[in-house]
Amino acid sequence: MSTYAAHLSEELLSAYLDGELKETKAERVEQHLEACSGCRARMDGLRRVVHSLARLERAAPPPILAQRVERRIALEGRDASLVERLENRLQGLRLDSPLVATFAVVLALGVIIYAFSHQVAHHRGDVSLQVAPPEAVEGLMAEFEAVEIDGRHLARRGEAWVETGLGEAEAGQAGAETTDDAAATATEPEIIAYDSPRGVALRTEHPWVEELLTLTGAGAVEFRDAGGAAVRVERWPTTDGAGGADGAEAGGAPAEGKTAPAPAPTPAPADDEP
Amino acid sequence: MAATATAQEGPADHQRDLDLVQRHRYGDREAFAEIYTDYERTVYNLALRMSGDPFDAADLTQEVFLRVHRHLGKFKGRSSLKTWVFRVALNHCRSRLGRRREPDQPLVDDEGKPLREPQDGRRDPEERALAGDAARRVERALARLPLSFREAVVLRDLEEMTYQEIAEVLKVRIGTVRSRIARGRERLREALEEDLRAEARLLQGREETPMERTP
Repeated sequence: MSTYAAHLSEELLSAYLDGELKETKAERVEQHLEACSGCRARMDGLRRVVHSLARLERAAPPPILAQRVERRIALEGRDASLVERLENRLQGLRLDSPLVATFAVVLALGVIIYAFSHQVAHHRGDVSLQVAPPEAVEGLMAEFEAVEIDGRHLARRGEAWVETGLGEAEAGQAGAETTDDAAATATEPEIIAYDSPRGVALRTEHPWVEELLTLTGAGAVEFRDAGGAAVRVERWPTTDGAGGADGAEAGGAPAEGKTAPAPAPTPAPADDEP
Repeated sequence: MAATATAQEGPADHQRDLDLVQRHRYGDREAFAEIYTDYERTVYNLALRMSGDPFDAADLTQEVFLRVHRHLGKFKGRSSLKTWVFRVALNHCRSRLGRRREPDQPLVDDEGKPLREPQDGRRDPEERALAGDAARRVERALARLPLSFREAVVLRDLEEMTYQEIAEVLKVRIGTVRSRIARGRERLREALEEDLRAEARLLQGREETPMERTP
């Protein structure tokens, strides 16, 4: 068995250090290292790097994080349809016994029937749950078909934004993913990710609207623009007629010609402030 | 030294994975809570090392777990849950971070100044060297690695995964894992050595000027 005549590659050094070489190769590396001070020095350098990486401390996640996740999941859960839950159950069943298979068919029928009734309710929900996005935000939303803000799914209906029970983009995807891999690599419903002319990056799940739970009330929106600066939008007025849209069982046509209410708020990039 | 046995999960772990997922499908909230507890710290640190920023890491972690929660019912158990969670996490980090900036683009600090100093190395090396202890320097160098190298190095040197596990998480061949780790470490070594040289220059400069610098 020969030793390595040429100097060892970075890959060989690295793999040797990690114990990822077969025995014969590892022995050849060792023989070369004994004979070659240059490669020994490189190996030492490599060891130092690995050592300093290993010494990086593991940080503790912020204590509030678990609560945040829990809250977001609760919000999603509120909207998750029964259909989804039934689907999940179906996936959990083993379909290899006739009894279970029969049961599954019955369950599937139930799902279909439910889906129909849900569809109707969903549609009705569209009408009664009109929301008026805060104006300052609306400009940013102009390029979207649907958005999710803090767990609430909104979809465009002509000129108006309506809240939908289940994120629509997602509903379209439901059931499409059948493998672990698909689930792992699935991209978020494409309702996100654009750079607006003002450089604000909105993202589906990014809490760019940090603590804002309702779109119709007054409040504050905080998010970070593309440059990472904190932007705060405060106190937008509600759209005329849609005031208190939550309770407004208007059931009418989508709000037309959005009348811009008096003081139009503008996002104030933090950098601009004294 | 022979290749270490892969640190794959044993059958018991695999069964536990499947049980957790099954319970989750049946609406048992405790199942997800267990998974969250198991992986919170890991995912957070992964996100922290990938993003280099605690604020972003918290956001990323939250988003990752939302996705885990959403897709968990579809987990089939072909890989370990750990591998799967890592994959979800890294895919998410990649799509978020990749979108934000090109991998090779230099990072900027809070004031928009590039973190990597100009090549002449004379722009305030004091500040840089003094501000950062060893760990800071390593973190900074890591944050500057291209994403694909960074994730391989983080999985290997911080998460202590085997090449085989890393290949599964990243869905690449072992040869690719091996090369990314080696190249990532090589770049880190260069960056850290450059830091040390800058520090040495600084110390030398200090000896020449007896006046004490005020911070």
